[in-house]
Amino acid sequence: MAVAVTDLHHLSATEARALFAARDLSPVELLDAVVTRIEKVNADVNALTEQLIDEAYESAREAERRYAGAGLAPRPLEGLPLVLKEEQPIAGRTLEEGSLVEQGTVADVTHPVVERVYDAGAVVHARSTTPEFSCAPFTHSRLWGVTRNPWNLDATPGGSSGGAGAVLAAGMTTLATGSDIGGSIRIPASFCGVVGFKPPFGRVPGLAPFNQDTYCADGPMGRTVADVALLQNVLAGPHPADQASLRPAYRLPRLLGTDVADLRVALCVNLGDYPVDPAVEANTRAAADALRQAGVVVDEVTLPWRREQLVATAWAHFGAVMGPFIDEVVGPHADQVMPYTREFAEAGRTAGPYVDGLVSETELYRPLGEILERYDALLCPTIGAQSIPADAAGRETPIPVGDATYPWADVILTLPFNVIGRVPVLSVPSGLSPDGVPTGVQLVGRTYDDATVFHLGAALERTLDLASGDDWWPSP
Amino acid sequence: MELHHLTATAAKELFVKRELSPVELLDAVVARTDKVGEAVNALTEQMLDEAYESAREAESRYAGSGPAPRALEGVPLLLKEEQAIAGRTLENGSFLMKGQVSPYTHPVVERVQAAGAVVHGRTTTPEFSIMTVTHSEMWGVTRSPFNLDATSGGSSGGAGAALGAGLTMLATGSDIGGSIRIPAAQCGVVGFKPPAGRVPGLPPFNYDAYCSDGPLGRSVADVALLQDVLAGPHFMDPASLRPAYRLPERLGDVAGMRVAVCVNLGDYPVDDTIAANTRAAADALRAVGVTVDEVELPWTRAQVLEVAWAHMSLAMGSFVNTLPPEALEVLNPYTREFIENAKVPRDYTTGLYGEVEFYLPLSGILQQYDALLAPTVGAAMIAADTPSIDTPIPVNGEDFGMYDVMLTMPFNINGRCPVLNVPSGIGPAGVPSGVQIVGRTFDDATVFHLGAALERSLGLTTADDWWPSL
Repeated sequence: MAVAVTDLHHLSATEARALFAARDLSPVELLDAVVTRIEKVNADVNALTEQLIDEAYESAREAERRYAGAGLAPRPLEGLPLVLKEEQPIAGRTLEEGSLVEQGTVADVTHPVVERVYDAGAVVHARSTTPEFSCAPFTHSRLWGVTRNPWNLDATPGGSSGGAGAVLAAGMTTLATGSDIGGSIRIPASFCGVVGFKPPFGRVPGLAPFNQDTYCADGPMGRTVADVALLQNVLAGPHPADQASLRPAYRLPRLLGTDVADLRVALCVNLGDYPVDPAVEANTRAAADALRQAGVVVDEVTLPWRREQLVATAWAHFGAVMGPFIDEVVGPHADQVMPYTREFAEAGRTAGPYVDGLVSETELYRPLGEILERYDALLCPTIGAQSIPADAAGRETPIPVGDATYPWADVILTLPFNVIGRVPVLSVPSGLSPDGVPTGVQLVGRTYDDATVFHLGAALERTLDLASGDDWWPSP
Repeated sequence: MELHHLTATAAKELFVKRELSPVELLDAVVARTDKVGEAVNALTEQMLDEAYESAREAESRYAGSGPAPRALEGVPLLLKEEQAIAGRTLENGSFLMKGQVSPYTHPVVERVQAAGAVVHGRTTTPEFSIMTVTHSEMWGVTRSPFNLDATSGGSSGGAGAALGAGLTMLATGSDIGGSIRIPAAQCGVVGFKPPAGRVPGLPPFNYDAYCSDGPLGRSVADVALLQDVLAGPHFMDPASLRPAYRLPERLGDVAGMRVAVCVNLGDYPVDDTIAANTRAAADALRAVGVTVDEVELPWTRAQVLEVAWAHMSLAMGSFVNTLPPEALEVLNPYTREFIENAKVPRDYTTGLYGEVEFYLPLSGILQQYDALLAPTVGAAMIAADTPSIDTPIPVNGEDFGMYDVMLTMPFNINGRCPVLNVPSGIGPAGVPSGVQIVGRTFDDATVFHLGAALERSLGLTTADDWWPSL
């Protein structure tokens, strides 16, 4: 097959698998390539909390044997380098969540996502950084320092799965896991020029209390839509310890994006009243045009959402589950945590009643539900700003959008689809901004209709054709 | 079989063959309501004008004029009052809501009407549907048609009583702690608690994984017929599951299935006669080729209440806090009791951890078995006017409280499990007993297959003498 990328470390998972199967590449060689790449660039990017090199080489050698026909048949992720988000615990290993308060804590459970990735034969070789307790859209903590965007080291790779986004863009791995309770998969995917999927609530199993949190989903990140689909099919399906995990297991189609000519997409650039930078808007409209070129009908629509209602609704929710979770830790250690962590705990304490939030969630869904009765998906930017500084620390950090500045919460267009947690959302690169940081668009599907956003995502990726040239990926 | 005790499935066949008209069937249930309605007290209102209009429309459709008959065309159906209809009263059995008119319609009501059902009345509930017996100062006492001293169960008690008494063919219910399954058990009928998200609802309960609207009927096939109308995504409820789930057309295919039976779910008291009826149901399944093994569960009633209250307090507690103190005085004593319980501060997140702990042993069993079989209610007789959750209810000579004798709440905590109540026999007080068939999360088809096989194998409800004449 044609390999468009000369550097092994920027190979897609799908290409790597084909090369493994053809015995043109060994999983050990690919692991060598990403480990070498890490040695070269991670000092600048700072995206890993630890490497798991011994176990990784053991898995890679096992994969090599399987592809050679010795032993069992290769599994879906056999031999593919993969980095886990640190927040997904591995029994017997540290679980520090980027917090001085949790330094040295060792997990006694393994996250279902981790189980599944190992069972599928992935070569897990490292764990990726997050902000403290994964509660910010930039990856900066007192414990782990500042994670930087490989495209522009002054900018954040986003958060909370910021390490995951950065390692994919920098070529330090081939696949990564993330989790998303307010945009934590889609924001780093957008800022790092990669693909990220926020599954609908219940699609991917989780751990208490977040497995019952409808805002929250663990999910896959990769450099192509096909790679993300490959990993998503490993993560999805009912788990015996999580009653909220949906049965039957949902499988994405093998062929993606081949037939989108009958689909209809609604474009909404500002989701009601989010500020969107002109450069981001231009790239979003270019994505809409690319879909039109692929035969999709794209119409512009309006939504009546207001940031104030979205944020109040979300806090009524966070105040019941994630807020107390963080507050319990922060309480006695306020002086040791990041400003954004204190802000989160405080907002949770002062949030409105949980039930009011539920009623408001239904109100917010209605206009989207009506649009999605007429359209197969909604298209909008992932983030309104061109970039956010890598060392942002809280709501005081001003984020420029066009001629004005805003606190971070106003510039991420991801939260509405955690409030409406049953919609699948795929973030796909839409171009580069003048800041030298990529932009992304969200493809938002009907509740639980994952296949459609993957079809559209694959068609968009193919038509925009950003990453097929050697010059797309950054060389920090 | 008298017309008013016909199943919906049989009625539909007769409609299609033009051997029965929907108007005749409506006449039959209305006459039956005139005769015995007062004794069971299951209806809050009748809607006869609209019903006859629907029945005539159905008659003309079956006669071949106009569009084709729909899924529930011409079938008499009663709605639980709690399921709102725009422009009609929504009182929830409470003087607090007396005379209030609903501005909106519940998705379940929409779907039933769109499917051509002949909606001819609405059924009683306890106040705010928060008790497992059905009586209120507003609507009086609803009774089991099998024994008028006994409760019809609750909260969908009017629905169960109406079906048992032959006042209708199909009924809707809702279940947040057993409110479909308990009346189904007490009234000798079939009731299905769908997994959370299967049937669309209204906020905030559409988001409540403990809560589900669902169907009741006199046969497993009837309940499946109605469930297929209720299920599927609704554009106003993001929690409603997509794609729409359809039950198989042919039910009862159980060859090779394995069922685990657990009579006490850990530590619930169960009357000897009910335990015997449950084991008879297990034997009836064995007789049709199902492997049935007895298993144990480590659950305790105290654990059930601890986990459930952590959940209920969050939803109910904040609602209750909006009530002015003078409002409490018009409430039924059991409602005030519930409010006192809901006010105890509890930690929601702790409850979420508790729910996982609680699910694990059931999940372990359901990895080895296709379903779990357990009684629905542990007591053989519960008085219709039982005033309080603390009123003593005897089980094998010992007294227990209301929550001790309802084996339903574990499957609201495990809210993604589908559960079907099927009659298992009659107890010494003349009150029917029921079993719950509990499936794997979201695996509705299996419990319907097993329920249909059990119904056929036991042969109780298919016999003419099952239904009370009153």
